[in-house]
Amino acid sequence: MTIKTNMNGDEAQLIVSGCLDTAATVEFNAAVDATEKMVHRFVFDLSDLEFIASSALRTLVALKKRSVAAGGDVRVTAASEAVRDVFDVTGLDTVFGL
Amino acid sequence: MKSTRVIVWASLGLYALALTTTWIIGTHEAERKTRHLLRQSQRLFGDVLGDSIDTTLYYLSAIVMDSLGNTCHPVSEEELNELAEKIHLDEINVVDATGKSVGSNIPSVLGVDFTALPETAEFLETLRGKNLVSQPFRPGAANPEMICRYVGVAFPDRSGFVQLGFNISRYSLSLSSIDPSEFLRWKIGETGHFDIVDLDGDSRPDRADNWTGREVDYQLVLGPNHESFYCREFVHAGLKFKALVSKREFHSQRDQMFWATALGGLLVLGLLIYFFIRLVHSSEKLQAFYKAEDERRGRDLSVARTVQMSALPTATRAYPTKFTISLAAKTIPAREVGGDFYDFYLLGEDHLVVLVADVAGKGIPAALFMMNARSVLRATIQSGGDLASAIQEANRRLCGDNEAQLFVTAWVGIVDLRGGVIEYVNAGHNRPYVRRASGLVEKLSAKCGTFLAMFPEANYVSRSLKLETGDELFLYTDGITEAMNSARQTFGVKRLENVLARPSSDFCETVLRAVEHFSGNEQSDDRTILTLRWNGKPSLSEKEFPCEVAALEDAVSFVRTALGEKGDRRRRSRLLNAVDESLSNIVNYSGASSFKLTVKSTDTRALVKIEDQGRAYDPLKHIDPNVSIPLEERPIGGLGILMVRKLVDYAIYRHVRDTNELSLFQWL
Repeated sequence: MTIKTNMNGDEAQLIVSGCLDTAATVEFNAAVDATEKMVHRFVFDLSDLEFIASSALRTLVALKKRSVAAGGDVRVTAASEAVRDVFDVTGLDTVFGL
Repeated sequence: MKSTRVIVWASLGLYALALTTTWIIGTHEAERKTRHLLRQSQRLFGDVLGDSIDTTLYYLSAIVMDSLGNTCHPVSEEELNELAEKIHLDEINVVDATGKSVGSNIPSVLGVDFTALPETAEFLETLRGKNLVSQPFRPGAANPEMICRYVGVAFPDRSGFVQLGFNISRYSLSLSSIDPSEFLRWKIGETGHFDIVDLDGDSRPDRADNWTGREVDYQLVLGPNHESFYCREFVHAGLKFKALVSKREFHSQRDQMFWATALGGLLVLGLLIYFFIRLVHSSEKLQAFYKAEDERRGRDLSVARTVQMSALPTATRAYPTKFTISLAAKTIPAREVGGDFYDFYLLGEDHLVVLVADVAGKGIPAALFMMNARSVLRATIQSGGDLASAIQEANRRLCGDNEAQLFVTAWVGIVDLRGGVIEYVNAGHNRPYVRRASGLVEKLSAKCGTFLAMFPEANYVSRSLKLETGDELFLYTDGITEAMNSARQTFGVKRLENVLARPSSDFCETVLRAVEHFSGNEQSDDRTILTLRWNGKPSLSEKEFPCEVAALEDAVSFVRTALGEKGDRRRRSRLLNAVDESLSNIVNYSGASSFKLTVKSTDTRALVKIEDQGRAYDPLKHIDPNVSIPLEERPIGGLGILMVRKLVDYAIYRHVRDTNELSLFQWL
């Protein structure tokens, strides 16, 4: 898994590619925590992600709760077909504006 | 509407025919009657005039007898001549009771024996009481040149008789002196009359038989006021007469008949058309009724079709765990319900029965027979024993219960799912094809026996066939090869073989589409196809991993490598995601020391088995988190299990011999 972070003012864009499996969640969490220290507005581009583990989903959900409480937001702007399937079956697609 | 037009024209034609017939028959009848009347009138004309001569002669005889003293005695020629002159007679003979002439103004007649000749002997009748003997005009006895009418009258004392002769030319003269308007008073029918044509006596008859007249002509003449007359010309006593009768009078009957027919015909025609329109109207109602009935039957049939279709197993993604084969089957009935069918079912764990059959006939009877044939075949094949005997038994049973005299062709095969050997019986069915992995198309021509349900004693022999990896068995019914296009050409074996020779991932669909493209919307027979692909042995990978978080990445990679590039990337990813979630659960909660992964896959499907000896735990029993409640109220956790269940096609958990066994199956 690779994460590329672009800062646009008070908004961070995270492009996650490869495979966000359970093992990769630790690294993903760390990247998210680091970014959260700077902004409360997140945009995720998951169009090149093979799949996403439920632990990573939990991270996103927790991040969303905190960001919204702090006046920010978390959105997923793009996702691969398989990842979109995961958002669909968990009902999280609308939560993240997918 | 065509029939309406035909009926109307036919009625008008009949009407015209009736009118024409009435007219022709009426005219003919009128003319016949006219001729008859004219002939009668002519006869009457002669009779009336003849009677008047006789009457005249009778009175003249009285004068003659009176002057002779009313008794018979010899008289001199001179005396009689004088008398004849006086009363304008041509001949006076006095004959005694013996028939001997005792006096005559014609010298040669004196002394003649009147009994000698029949025509003269007739006058002796007067002596036996007859008042008057009259004879038609005939040549005179003394002078054949002279045409005379003779009468005889007896003396009052029967001492003899006088015979008076009256020359026809004298008669003609007297007739011609009559005012022609006299004759015009004699009516023929209502308006007809006689007319004298010729007064000059040119056609003076020289033979007695001409006297009564001959039919000169029958013709239409134009009378005064341009009225038409039927006319008969005749000659009487050397004079030409015409009997005329008005055409209008004689055609009036015909005209009445004609108009009666015309009016009656119109009435009948009117009634006919009225009833016909009512008939058409009611037949339209009847047609509407039948249409409604058809629609109702159509609905019934579509229900029947649903029942029939649901009775056939669905081949798409059947037997996911039987990696060695891929099945496809489809039947498209020509009518709502058809006589074709396919079937497949497992015999134990390692054998699969596949069959395609075609009942002769279409519609409800064939469909009912098909359902029966299908269950009989199932029963005999599933009862064990060898295939040939099972088919023989099925045939025997179908023969016994076949009042409709239908028959069925069938190709039945039993596939050994371990090795790809197929034992089969072809009971009079189309010869199926085997498409080899190389693209070579082979026809299975071996003979096994005849069709079912007709000959109870028929024998069947089973054959066998070996499929290699990538080979495909193609079963079909004749609705495929005999499908016709609008030019009445059949799809045929050649076209089918050409389609089979080209590669396809789904020959069932490819061939059906080709046939449909060929024949357009026309479908006269059921079309059924069943294909069975031999995938060969699936690739198998196994590996044991330590049950710790650090091993997860390797384990997922192991599965990813085992799947390679098979099937669809998205479906592979979904399976990997599910494997990752399941393993993460095991690593975190099972307490096992290791887990084992087994990956079995072909081009179209994959099975990942995860085994561990940790605490017995069925992840699939976990209740779905409610995904519809707001995020803030949603408990964290349980998501992973939800994903496992939703991302793969089948997830099965077993606990055997202290081992948790989770199988994840995915069509790729």
